[in-house]
Amino acid sequence: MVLQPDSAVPIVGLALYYGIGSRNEERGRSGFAHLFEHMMFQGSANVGKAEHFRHISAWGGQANGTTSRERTNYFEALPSNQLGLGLWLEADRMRSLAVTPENFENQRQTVMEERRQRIDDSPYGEAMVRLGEISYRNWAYGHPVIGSWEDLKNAQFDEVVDFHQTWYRPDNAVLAIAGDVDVEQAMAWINEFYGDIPAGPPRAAPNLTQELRTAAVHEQVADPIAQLPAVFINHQAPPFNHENFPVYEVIEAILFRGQSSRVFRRLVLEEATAVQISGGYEAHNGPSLFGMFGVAGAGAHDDLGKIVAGYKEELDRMANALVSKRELETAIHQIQANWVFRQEGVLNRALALGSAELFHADPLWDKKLLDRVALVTAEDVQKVVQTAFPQHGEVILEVHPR
Amino acid sequence: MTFPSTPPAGGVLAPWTFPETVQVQVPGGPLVVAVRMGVLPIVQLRWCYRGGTYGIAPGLEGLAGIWNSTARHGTRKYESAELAQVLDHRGIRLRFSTGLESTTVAISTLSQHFDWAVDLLDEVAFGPTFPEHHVARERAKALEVLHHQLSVPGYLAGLWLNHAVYGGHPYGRRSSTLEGLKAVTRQDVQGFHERIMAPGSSRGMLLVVGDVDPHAVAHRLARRWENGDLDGAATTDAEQVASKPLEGLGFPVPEPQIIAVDRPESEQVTFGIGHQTIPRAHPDYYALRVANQVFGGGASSRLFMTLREQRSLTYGVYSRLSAGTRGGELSAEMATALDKAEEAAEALMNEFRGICASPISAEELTMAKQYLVGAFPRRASGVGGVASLVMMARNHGFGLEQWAEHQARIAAVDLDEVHAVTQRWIRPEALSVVAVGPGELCARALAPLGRVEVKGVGAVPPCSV
Repeated sequence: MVLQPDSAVPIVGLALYYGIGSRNEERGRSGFAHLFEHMMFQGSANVGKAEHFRHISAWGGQANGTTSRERTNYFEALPSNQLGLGLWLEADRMRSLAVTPENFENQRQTVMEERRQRIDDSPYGEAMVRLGEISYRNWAYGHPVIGSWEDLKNAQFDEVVDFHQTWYRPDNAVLAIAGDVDVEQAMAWINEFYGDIPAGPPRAAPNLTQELRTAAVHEQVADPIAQLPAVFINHQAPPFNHENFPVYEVIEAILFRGQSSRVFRRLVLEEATAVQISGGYEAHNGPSLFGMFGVAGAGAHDDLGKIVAGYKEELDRMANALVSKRELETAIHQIQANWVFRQEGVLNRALALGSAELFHADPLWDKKLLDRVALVTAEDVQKVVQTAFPQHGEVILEVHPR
Repeated sequence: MTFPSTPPAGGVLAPWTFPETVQVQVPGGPLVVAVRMGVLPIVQLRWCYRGGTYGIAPGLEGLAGIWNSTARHGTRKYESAELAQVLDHRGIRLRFSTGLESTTVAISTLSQHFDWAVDLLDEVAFGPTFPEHHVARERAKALEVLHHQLSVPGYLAGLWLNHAVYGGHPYGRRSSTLEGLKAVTRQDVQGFHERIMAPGSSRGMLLVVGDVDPHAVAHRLARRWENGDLDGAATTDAEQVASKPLEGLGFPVPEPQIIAVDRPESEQVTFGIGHQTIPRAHPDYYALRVANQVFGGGASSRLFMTLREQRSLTYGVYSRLSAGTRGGELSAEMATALDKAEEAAEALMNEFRGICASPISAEELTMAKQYLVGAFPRRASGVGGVASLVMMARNHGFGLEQWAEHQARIAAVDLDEVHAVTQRWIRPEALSVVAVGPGELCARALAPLGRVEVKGVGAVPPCSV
């Protein structure tokens, strides 16, 4: 449990993280963690189907849940006099689920619509699924969080109870509260609502291993929906508990953050080979990536190699020469300022605290990272780029409008 | 200890008050507003001007977007790259935006850079030079981005629905077109800038929200303009256009249209449905806002509960009450699987009919009001949110005291009122409906609603004004 009182506004943010994500799924069961997240809104012992939202809405609150590769979270922002309601609602569905095969079928259909909307009917959607498959050399991380069509169709209602009893236990959860909270009252509720929930059974650890890629991968896919060609480039990267984590953060800022960043400036503003560039460090506590995504401008419609070459030349430039003192300072200042901006809103803070505690056993990990980032040197940047971005390990996926 | 079967009773809801605000009107010049939000060491500064895309000449659709993206690429003092470096070095965010009736230049910064940011804001707001090659590049980029947007079903549905709802009225004008973008010149961009962003104009408001002493800041910034070159109460072309009566807005509405947009490769059918309704200043606004909350305002609304939770027709469906200064619109959007398109079209229309035929209950009214009252402080809990409230008040011509009364006004809406506005302002017979997906399938789904017009691949609405 993490509590961060701040009475500036009479609002409280509550985030409950569970250590269950798509990486914990077995083959043939892809998408189940996310489908289960939907089931958590379908009823528990004292809360009927869809009543969770009604309880929260009745007080002007906001609630939702999300699933990623490594965790599932549920969160609420409420007027501070309703913190007890939020804690009670989350406890009720941690203690028990009261769902039916009909509800399960309803949510399976809902998730299928979500998949159509986000992936099948969205430009570059299918390409991103393929990108995950070829970028990670580990099925647990490489399959899509939302699951394959076949696995969604085959998902079984009778697995719901077991899944809940295995993963949705207090010893696999972090509860974070930020905002206008009376700590003594909050602790009393937490003890009352959660204190007697038993721990779960031993849980299978996810596969965190990943073989080093020794041969480059270069694929092309046709996209029937996209209008503009685009390209993804990925390199394997270390997990976020690695000592070089802050160096990667700085590299990301130098290459991609702001209009002065190297890749943006070159590809979008100077060469105009791209109309949109994004990229950076996709860090997990297992297999991780560093990559970029570029949507081609008119100058690269027929030759996505121009975008690839521009990016790789910028990596080479960082490998061959030290970044300037001012450029390094700029990256560090950007990371520091962005951290401050991200503190706006008590729900954002609760989410950040919960995530940091779940993954690092330290709710202030993000803040402490700023101190580590401030110590990164130009030599650190050069060394990491020289050693960690080998050409033989790159994955390139070109997307061409069909 | 036994787990209770009901949640603990909530204590007394702490009252919300609008943050401490100081306003100073420079005689004949801009209004300066400063708001204290001292939780974090951040400040947002905005120059807000009346006038936006509304006044742009026909044939130049996209001009405002090019202004937004080009204004940062060169000022009297900085080259494009130099400005980007000084901004990024301090972690400062700069944003230009243009709406129908207002234009904004905003900077978000750590409060330690406040004084520097004040000067920088004036530089970027009043000193852009619009070098030709930057305009050309941003125009080319905007053309590519528009090509991309025209492949997104939600964008297409919104485009056609807007046209159907507002007819040829400027509210229904497309913000950019391929032809308009191609026609925009550097001189057009410069001209747009000069018409809107006049330094010292009484149409401007300098807004500061964040970690500041509002008394000291408001007076200090106002003094910067007191002896400047002020323009009194001059109006712009945009304002003159905006002040004309808007024929066609409000009931009777243009003839409803039923449109199928053929997108053969679609995996879903995306629907847009809506009609015109009242402007923000209308006396019925608060009651209609409550009615919309019941209808489709969230995950407990009628639309969501019926179409998603009971009938599995969609991932999400919400309605939106969009109220401008001259008129507004009530609309909803949803996407559904191809084989559910006919059922979904009928169900969506039935919900609109239902909100009129099955009156809102006392319980629904209470829930909706409690939501809107309780949610308001969240809207005002960050510097961006508070800045938007101040801007909205100015754009709609009401004082900040209206925000102080906002929760009470919502709470005062009663059943009779909400029933009356539902009958008055939600009109199923006036709804235009758009479906984007395989043309034949869309046409079949929409056929029970009236005569369907099928638009071919690549078709876009005309841009008449």
